Amino acid sequence: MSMHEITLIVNGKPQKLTVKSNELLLNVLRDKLFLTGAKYGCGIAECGACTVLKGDRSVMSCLVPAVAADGWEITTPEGLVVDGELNAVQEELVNKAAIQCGFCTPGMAMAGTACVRENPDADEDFVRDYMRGNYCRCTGYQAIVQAILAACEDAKNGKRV
Amino acid sequence: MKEFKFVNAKTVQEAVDVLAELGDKCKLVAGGTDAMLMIRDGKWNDLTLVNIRDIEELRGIKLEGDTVTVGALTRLSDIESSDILKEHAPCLWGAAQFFADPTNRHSATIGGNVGRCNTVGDTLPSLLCLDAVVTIVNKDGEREVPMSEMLLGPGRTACGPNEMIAKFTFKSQPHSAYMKYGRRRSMALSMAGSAVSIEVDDKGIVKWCRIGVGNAGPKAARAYKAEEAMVGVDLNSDKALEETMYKVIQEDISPRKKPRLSNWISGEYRRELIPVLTKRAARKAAFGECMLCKQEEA
Repeated sequence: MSMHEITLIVNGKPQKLTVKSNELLLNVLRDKLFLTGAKYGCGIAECGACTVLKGDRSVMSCLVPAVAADGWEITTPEGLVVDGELNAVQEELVNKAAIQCGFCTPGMAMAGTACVRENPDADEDFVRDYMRGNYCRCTGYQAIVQAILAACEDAKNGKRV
Repeated sequence: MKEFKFVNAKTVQEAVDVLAELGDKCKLVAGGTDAMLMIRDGKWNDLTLVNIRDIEELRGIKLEGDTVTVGALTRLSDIESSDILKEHAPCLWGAAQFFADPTNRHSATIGGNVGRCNTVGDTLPSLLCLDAVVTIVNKDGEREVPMSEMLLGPGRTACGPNEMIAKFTFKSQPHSAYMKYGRRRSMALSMAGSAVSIEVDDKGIVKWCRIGVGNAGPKAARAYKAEEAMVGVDLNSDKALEETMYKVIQEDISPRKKPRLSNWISGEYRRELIPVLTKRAARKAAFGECMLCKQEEA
């Protein structure tokens, strides 16, 4: 085991941290920075509950050792909220009632945001394809897909994603 | 999480220096989508992980003349969105579409997929049928290994403990395609996969072809006998194609009478599946479209 000094830019703020070599990025975000938006689901990158953004790309933080993330720019679900205002994807998830138990929702919001940023002209096929790494065991996906499609429209109308 | 030591390599030189020193006491980690699972499962113990995720010089897809170069750390999402590969190696481009899910594709790399040498690796059949050449670097320089000699067995490649994969080079092959069959679209390991690079004349008679099959045996492999038997076969004829495929490709898959059972697919099923996938891949490669492919992709 070895200790490492790393710098993460989390939600725009640089964070200097000392981490163990075997600490996962997800656990560092949750336990050291108290950003508990990203959830620990399966731990093997199957379910997508731990999704965060590296730049504009979605990454599953349960498979990234924190040391490997040295210097990364990370956005967690908390970072999507600016001045108390939800971003387009989060807001549409609420509007479309795409939430039941809520465990998958942060991951859905992150992957959905990555999806809208990558292709604001997305159609339903693209969205379903993009979100296929995120599991929801309650809602049956229909509302979630509709929410992301609505967020695409909002993004084109100038709402922040 | 199990304990391990960790080294962050920011350049190829740093990485090969560590490899030269530690050899088989260390493992390279690129995207980590498979490596971290091995550690979690306790299959890799007492190791030093060498993180090569952020080495930019090994990333990128280049086209020079008719030669395509793909860096080992090129992410599957880059391959998926590459116009060069869509035109010059549609089999590899297509394999990236089938690979896990978009979020994992942002991490997983082609070098990692080959280095892990899992028989179900989605990029392996494509690289085999493209007849790619693998460039391997070590402390003293670099060497080239053809893809057909690269894969030795489950988890074993021609890349030694002191070496790392740097890039893949292959000739432009617009007539190539990959077909995969998995239980579902997302996060499904392939039950079988087949990639074909082919040239046909204007009547649809095969001039030559190369076939790579995945999850057909302990490792992804070329189907040499089927390649020979395919020459002169009319691609439009179901009968001619099936006769060749069913008879010959099974000798390639496994000479055993009783096929091996893997965790998620019986050998018998796989033996039926691979000729069909190869047939469809060959048609898709030659004609750009296969009537049944659309269903397959859904």
